Amino acid sequence: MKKIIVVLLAIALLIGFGSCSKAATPAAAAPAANTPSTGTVDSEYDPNATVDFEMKTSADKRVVTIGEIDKSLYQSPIFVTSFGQSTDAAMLDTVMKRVGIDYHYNPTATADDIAGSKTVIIAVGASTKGLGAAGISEADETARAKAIMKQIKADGSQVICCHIGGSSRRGALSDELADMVMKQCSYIVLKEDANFDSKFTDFASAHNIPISLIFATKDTVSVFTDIFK
Amino acid sequence: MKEYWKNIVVLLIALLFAVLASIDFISMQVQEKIAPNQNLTEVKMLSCYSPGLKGTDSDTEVYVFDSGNPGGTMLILGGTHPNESAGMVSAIATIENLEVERGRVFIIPWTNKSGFTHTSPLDGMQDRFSITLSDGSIRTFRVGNRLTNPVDQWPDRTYYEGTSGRKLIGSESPEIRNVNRLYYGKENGVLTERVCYGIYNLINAEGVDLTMDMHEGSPEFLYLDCTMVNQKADNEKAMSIASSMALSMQLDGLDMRTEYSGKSSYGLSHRSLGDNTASMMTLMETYNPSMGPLHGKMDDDLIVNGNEPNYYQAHNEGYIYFDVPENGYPLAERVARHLTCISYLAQSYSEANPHDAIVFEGLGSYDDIVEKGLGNLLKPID
Repeated sequence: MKKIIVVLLAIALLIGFGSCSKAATPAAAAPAANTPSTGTVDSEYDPNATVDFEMKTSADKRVVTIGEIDKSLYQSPIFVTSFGQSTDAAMLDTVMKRVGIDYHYNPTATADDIAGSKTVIIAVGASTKGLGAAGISEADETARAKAIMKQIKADGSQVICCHIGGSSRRGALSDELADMVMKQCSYIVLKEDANFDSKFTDFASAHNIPISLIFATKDTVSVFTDIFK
Repeated sequence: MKEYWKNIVVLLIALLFAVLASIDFISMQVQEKIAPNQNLTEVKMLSCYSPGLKGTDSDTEVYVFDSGNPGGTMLILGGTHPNESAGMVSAIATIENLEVERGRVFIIPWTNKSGFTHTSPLDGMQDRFSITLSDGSIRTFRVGNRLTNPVDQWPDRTYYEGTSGRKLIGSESPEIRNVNRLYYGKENGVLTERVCYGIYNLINAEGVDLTMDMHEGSPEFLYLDCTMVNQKADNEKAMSIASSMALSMQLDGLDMRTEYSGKSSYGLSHRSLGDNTASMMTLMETYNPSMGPLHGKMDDDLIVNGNEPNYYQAHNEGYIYFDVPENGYPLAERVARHLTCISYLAQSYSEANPHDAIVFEGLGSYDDIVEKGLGNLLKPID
């Protein structure tokens, strides 16, 4: 019996030394083991927002336009702004630089700023982080958007609704802002994965508004090059 | 007497195993060598910027490339989390290949140097992986732990409040050894805080304009195709620069988007260094299948080739947001993605700030790195 206990103790000792070979103390083990690198950012994005549906665009067919676009409508001066303060506006600013035309860009523009513009391109998509970075509340952003749409109506400017952030830019505030813009726009550019419930194509069809579905954000470059060049 | 000798033998055998285990443990302190690059100007230690690190296992090398021509300054951080291998390998590959034409580039490949000296116990972790170079030689790299080694910093406090305002309580307390939770650090704080302070002070002392912190994440993570950007009121160009980088990568066929740094991401590099220094802060992730809970056997095939059928199956069944390739996501692709992002970020920064341009060559294109592999990018060690 004594021998068995000694052997068991020796085995336990060996296992103990063996497990210590990869770390100094058990205190290090439990919390850190296998912890994914989540927490690098504060998550606000719900991947479940993406719903399977049949896409018209693909990696091979990157842009699908439904309806006829009257390019002559879109004259200078051109103004680019954001409704919702997502990063899509900065991306649209980059796209316009690549297209190589003159335009004004201000994501937090007021109604006075856009007054006199013949074409207003609005990047629609709400981001709580973006609103936070800009120091704007949701209520203030909605009020700013309403004031701009009122100015656009008064000026008779052409509006292009640009929803290029995809399904991650769907949600209560994003949809409210998109509805506001679509009511007055004459053209819609949409990253198609945001159209999982046909919201945008249904609206465009019902109001006879041309809509370009794009497969990825980068396809905005070819769409606007075709419109403005 | 006979019983006495049996006990002695058992203890000697146990001692032998303890010695072997200790040798293995101590061998983790032998860091990777870096092949010489004639363009390298200087190697400093982080203790130059945080004296409290001098003589500790966390004092780490800062590789400096100074073109001698006026321009901006960029800081590249690898190995913030030592188990996120692409960050360290990307930093080492940059050191071995970089040629700076304008401005300066500072590179830290082992940001949490102490974290490279241990792994996650009881987790089946592999402590090293190997890459065969084009000349047939083999280079070996360590896989560490995302936290500072408790041998160097222990015990973990049950309550901690950092300079950023981040509080660590209860089960979060080991995060007091996580470099990417304690920014902007404290000069005389715990060891990990002193590392953070060193980087904070380096940015201020050297006038760093642009910083990239390279990370990896498990496939369940949501921000793998994204660069986090701190857009401050006094640097309105930041998101514009990052968007230009993202669009350039998209036009090359690489998924990339940008996202604002979370307002409550206290203590993280992109938030707290961005808020407390003049540098434009960015953080990028790539997908590392060896980090997620679904990974299988931990070996070179998983770490280097990124081959994990479990994640491909999980993706096919709709559980993974990130697009998981059937043939894995090799380390070469992850490193190529980091290096492409660094190149485009510097290019976009330079276009927006032509008087403070940061211009360099040598990192190669994404396709080139992927096609020729890391064996061609990394240089042989004499």
